[in-house]
Amino acid sequence: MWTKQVTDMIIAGVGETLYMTLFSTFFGYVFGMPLGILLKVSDKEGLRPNSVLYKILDVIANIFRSIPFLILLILLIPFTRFLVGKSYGTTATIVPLTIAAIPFIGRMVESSLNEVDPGVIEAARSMGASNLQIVFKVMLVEARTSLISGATIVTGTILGYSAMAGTVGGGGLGDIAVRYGYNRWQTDIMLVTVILLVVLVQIFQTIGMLIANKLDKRK
Amino acid sequence: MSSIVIQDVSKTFETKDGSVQALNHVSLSIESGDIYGIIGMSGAGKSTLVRCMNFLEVPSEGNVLIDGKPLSEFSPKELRKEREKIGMIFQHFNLLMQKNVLENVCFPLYIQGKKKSEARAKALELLEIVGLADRAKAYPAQLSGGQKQRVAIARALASDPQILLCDEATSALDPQTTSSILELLQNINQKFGITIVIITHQMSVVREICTHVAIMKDGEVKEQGLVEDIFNHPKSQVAKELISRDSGSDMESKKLTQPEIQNGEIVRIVFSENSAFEPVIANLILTFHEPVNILKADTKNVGGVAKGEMILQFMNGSTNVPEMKKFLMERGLEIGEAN
Repeated sequence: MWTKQVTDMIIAGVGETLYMTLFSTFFGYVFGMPLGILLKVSDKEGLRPNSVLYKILDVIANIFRSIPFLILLILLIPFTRFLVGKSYGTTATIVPLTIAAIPFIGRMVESSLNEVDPGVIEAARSMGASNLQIVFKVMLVEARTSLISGATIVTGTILGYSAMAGTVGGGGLGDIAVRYGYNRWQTDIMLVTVILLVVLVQIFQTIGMLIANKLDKRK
Repeated sequence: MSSIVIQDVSKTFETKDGSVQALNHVSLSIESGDIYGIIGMSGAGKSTLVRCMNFLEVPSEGNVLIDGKPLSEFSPKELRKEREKIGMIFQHFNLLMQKNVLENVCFPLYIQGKKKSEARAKALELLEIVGLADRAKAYPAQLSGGQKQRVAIARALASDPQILLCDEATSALDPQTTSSILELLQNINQKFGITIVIITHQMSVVREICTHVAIMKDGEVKEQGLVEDIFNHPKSQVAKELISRDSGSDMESKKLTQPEIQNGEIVRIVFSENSAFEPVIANLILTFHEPVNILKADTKNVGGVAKGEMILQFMNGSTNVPEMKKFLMERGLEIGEAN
């Protein structure tokens, strides 16, 4: 039963999982990064406090973070169909994955930026830096180690979500694990896909931490 | 023209537990080229005051004039431009931890949009001045506290400021490093004519390099003037406390009272520059054939002039006391009550 067909399928599954994870993480950061920066800047201790804006972003982020991913996946079907043209398949899955990732990434970015020493920001202000310069030349630079370890966690989480998307026809390793391992009782196939998922998370984690440590000049 | 003028500035902070008045109608005038100390205990409002000088804190009332121009009339953009003329250093240095020394010094120049090559040349020049040219490629985490403050000073000087604000710049440093940083600040003041404002709670810092001092307590300036005058004739209670605390630490061991002389009148005498080298006390004893007890003696370097202060106790029931006081006064010493 362990045929070339199965092997090919699993290799394709790895490719699909990576495709979904990496693209969703990328698009997640495209929107999540500005969200995190806006949260930090509009915070009452921020560079430009704006309690209304902060509250709105805060509530939206919390709502999307509290909806279980599987439910979000289904709720977003019309939106996904509108964007991609169909609601199933690997490419379509990127849409709900990205939507789920944005508020999560926003929070990760916000908390990384919170770690930046307020004294350094004050020093930059005393030199005549504008808020934009402080964000890009001080906060993002000083927080880069934390931002990268955050990105590592985000990637791992999205990888986990992408496996869940398999249940609704999303493709990837999760899909294989559910269809063959769970529905057809082929435990060996399930085991292999799960191990591959673990290995993928491990690889992302190791690479992320290596880069973060390499860039950290605080020690 | 005065470099910095603080006009009747008040600052109130709104906190959860009601409003706190950090500054209460403070007025000061700092002349160009001064090294101006602002001293007080923590919570006296001195850090708020120094932040009003570059509008990091906007006063609730009153105005701040830099070179005669009120900061409140600047637009945000003009204010940022103005801040380039006002350097600032901090207690905890506040360097970019992820950038090396050279990039830290270049930072204010990059903000101003200077070219990389131009910024680097200038930064290296400044690192030379602060004595850290050989550490240009090091990261702040690899430097000692004193070295970090030197980098911060170089960074503050990068935009050729006319004013340098120092917020407890030596408070996190040991005494030896403190002295070397103060020496550097003094050199900078003399070499570039930069007005320096020093916020501190250490009287030793004020007497080592400041020309003028303002003493703060509870958000108010209690006393201000030339360092020399205030050391010789402190008027306010807080000034007296700060001065006695300053000398107290190194004088503790000399406070032994001889048993022969007890309960006699105690006076404080101050030497000025003309009298410091004559053996006045020895001559006094030889003239009157009567011992006096030196309870405390101290010489300090006050603004570059050697200053001496002694607490003398006369013999109990001595009839010569008025004559002895006259003798001391004739020799240019000042006599006051000991406290």
